[in-house]
Amino acid sequence: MLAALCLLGVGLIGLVVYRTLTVGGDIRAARSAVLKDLNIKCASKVEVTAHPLLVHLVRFGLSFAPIEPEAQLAMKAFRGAEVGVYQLRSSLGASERRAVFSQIDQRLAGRGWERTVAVLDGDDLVMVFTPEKELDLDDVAAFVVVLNGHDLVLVSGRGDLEPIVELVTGKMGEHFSLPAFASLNRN
Amino acid sequence: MKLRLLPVIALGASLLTGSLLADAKTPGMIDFGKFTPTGDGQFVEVDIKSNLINMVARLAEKQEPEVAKLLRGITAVRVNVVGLTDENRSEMKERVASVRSQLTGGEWERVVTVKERDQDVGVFIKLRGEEAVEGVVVTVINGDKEAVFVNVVGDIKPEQIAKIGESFNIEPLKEIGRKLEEKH
Repeated sequence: MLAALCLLGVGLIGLVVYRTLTVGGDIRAARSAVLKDLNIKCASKVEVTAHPLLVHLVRFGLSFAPIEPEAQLAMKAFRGAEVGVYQLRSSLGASERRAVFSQIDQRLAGRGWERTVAVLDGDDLVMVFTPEKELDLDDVAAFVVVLNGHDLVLVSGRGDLEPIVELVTGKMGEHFSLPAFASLNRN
Repeated sequence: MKLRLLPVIALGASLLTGSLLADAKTPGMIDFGKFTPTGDGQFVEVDIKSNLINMVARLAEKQEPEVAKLLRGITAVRVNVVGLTDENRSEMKERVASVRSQLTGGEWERVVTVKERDQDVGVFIKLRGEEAVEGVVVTVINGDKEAVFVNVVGDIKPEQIAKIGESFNIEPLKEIGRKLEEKH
């Protein structure tokens, strides 16, 4: 009986480790759009998944830690994320960056994401995608692509937007004196 | 010969009618066309649709009901900033001219014109009677640096435009609001 429980425990830990070190279909699709379809070589890669259960455990642990209220707020908003960080062998040229832009755009459009923001400026490419369907305030999904020099970062995350927007808009209000933004964080 | 052409004419007419009807569904929306990055030029595209706007409106509802009301009136916001390069300079300038000519003389009204040094700004609005603004279009050619296209679509009260500008400190919207107040 004890042996069976130990085996089950080891199995569960193995599953959690495996699930933490593998990413979902959206990240895999975007990664493949860049590394396979465009044949861009990658020197190293790190892929991590923060599953909701793990996030809850971390949040519970952090609730006892003396951390800044902003960090607590950010943790409260965070539900789970998958992150892929790829260090490319060489910095991409302008035409390659444009190709990355259109490949990822096409690939994610086929998976139900629509591009909300795209910025291509010098060596930097930033793209933010949101789901095509109606968005829920307390369970927002977003897919973010950041290409900066050698580094490609893909993030697919879910969370509660309310605390994050309060945090961001409040800070924006403080810095840019925007009355509407600042007032969102007043109470 | 004429009879043989009839199905083609009918098909063409139905397609044309279909496309006109599609445009009529969202009266303040202007199709700037597809933009693609070229050369080393800057490229910014923001395309915010009603689902995201509704979500932000719901968020603002608790503390800023007025702002939430304004946001509920907006159905789409599109912003394109395209850096001008040797490859796209003439095409972008032609596209700005083409958008402006489409909006001139129809239901749209040019409310702001700025031609200063190498800056060329045109702001157009589409009114529904005197009660609502259905669309705002801003086109800018900033010298040889960039072309900017903005389209805000919705059902916005004229006095709310200035309020949005004041709330979010967006100078061009304040200017449009002032112009609209002068008109009334």
